[in-house]
Amino acid sequence: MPDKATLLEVKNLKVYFPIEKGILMRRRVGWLKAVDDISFSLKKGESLGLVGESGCGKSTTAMAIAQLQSATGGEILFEGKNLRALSPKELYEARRNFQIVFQDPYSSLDPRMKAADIIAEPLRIYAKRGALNLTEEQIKAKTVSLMEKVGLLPSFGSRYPHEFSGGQRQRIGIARALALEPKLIIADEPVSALDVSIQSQILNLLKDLQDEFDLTFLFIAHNLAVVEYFCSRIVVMYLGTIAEIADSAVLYEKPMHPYTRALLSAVPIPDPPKERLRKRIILKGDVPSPTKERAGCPFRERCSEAMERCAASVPPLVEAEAGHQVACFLYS
Amino acid sequence: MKQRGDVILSVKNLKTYFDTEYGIVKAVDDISFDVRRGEVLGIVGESGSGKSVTNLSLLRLVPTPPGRIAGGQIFFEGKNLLEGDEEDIRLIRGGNISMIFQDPMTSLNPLLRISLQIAEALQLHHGLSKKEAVAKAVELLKAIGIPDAESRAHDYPHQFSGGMRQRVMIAMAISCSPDILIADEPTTALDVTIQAQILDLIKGLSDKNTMSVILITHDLGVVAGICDSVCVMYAGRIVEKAGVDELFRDPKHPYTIGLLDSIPRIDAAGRQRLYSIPGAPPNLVNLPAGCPFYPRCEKGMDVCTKAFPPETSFGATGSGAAGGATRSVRCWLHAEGSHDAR
Repeated sequence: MPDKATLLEVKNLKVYFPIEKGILMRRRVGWLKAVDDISFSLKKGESLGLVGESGCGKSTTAMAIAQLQSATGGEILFEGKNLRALSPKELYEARRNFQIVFQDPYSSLDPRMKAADIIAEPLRIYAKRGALNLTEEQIKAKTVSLMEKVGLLPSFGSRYPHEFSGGQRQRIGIARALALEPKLIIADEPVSALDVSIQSQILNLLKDLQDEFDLTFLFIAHNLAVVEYFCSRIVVMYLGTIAEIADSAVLYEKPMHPYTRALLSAVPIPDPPKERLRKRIILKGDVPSPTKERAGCPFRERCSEAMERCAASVPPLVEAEAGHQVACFLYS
Repeated sequence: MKQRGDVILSVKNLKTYFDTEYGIVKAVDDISFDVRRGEVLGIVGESGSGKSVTNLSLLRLVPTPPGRIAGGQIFFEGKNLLEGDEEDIRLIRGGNISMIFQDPMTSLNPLLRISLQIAEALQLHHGLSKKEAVAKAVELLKAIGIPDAESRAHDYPHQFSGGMRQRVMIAMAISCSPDILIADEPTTALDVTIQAQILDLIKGLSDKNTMSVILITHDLGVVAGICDSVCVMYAGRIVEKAGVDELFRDPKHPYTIGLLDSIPRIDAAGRQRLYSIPGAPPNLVNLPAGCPFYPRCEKGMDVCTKAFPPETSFGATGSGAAGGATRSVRCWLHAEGSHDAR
């Protein structure tokens, strides 16, 4: 199989937030390193999952890629162009190729806009600026077809967001993201606010849309089972760094990083006899604060296999096996 | 003598309704279940299925108005909790039956030190002095796995992480050695590795103190991990009751079957498509007659639109602390005498 073209490449991305003190004289007393030097790439047509616990930097990474959060350092290459170096006008042109589906379908839709207008808004904005050559009739027709694609009755177009259920609202958000026919969809926890029976409807819808429009997905979620189902490759993050990258089947069968092993063992499986037999790795304590200056491996305080060298330097992300990268001294 | 496996709490035909401007919302409609000593009973369902209202009803915490308990009995050690005045139920709350909530961020008082918040129930229910109560609070924090408990006890809630706050809530809930702990989505706000810690703790306390736990959750994985028996709720009704092994091995109600097939699992071989139950849960205002799941059910029959199915029992099943629990389902597919219908 020939290698597919790389759509997105993230190189040494850093997002730091300054910590300031003082009332009149604000001075910086430290950095919160939300994302600390991460690199990964995304091939055309694949769905890459970004998993980790709260505060690991997965959403910040997504927002930095979407150019909604300015990065401190590194490069974000979308189709070879560094998004961080584009002029506002060039960025505006590039933006239609990457769109976002947000977590909370309650707060990401304008409550005073009708569903059809929410979905049509990106089209209208680009048409007004002359970047899209569409008449109002064509925009309306396109909105109707988008609603049908995501499983909404076109007659619902004149309703307001509060008249929809959570699952339907998420469908509106998906239709809006699809409007400009983007190449990449960044989905930030798209199903975590939904009930189980609705969650599977939305996951299946996203899969169908991916097949139909040849979409590439960057899928952020804390639920490993959801990511394993949806994504072909998974990036595991811990405290602003990447712990491991592998194909999702490989990651489940053969997790390498001690953190990934603990994380997987903590995910409950809906099968009582199997659950009773499982050996759970219970991690001690909490994730340390990202504001603390630290040396060495970020996971070492909670790691059962920590060695002396883990405190001395940060383990680099290396390819331990073909297509399987891990940042741990156990493998280098 | 109090025996593991005895019925300790018995809910009979409980109905909790809310009067709204759109009509009566039957949040909980005629449900019955037993809780046995030492067992972990899971109540699963999606948003709006009535699982949280059920548990608020147990301690008479339903906001009235608009809510009201419209019928039924709740027997705890032979006494009906729905009778008696506010003072009677106050002695039960936090004493014999205590509760922990989903969000440990909002259920602690931000202005009070942790030690004082735990001590409060001890002073009230056990008549301890403040000093004795605070000393006991420190002991509890140690037992619950808070490192450096002596000094951390005097911290404020914002100085604790989410997982630690939930531990504090648990310490508070078990301070008076309750017979029953009601845990309403105790790990939903927490990360998976912290969830594993908290579930471990709850299960351990239940085993050690022969404490019954009513665990409300939407997560069937959590149920599989720590529950002995399960009630599945849908639109205010209990549609299926079973021991945990039976429920996962041989679910009977089409809703339970659909729900189990629609969860992604990390151990699933291959990646076959997830099943998804069509449609969305119904509006609880003026539910039509018949089975509330009928509009989404693939096996619907004519009879399903006429009346809500009766409870069909399959005799005693279950194991361990759930021994003797009855397995039952409310579905016309399984109703006696309706075999000809299919």
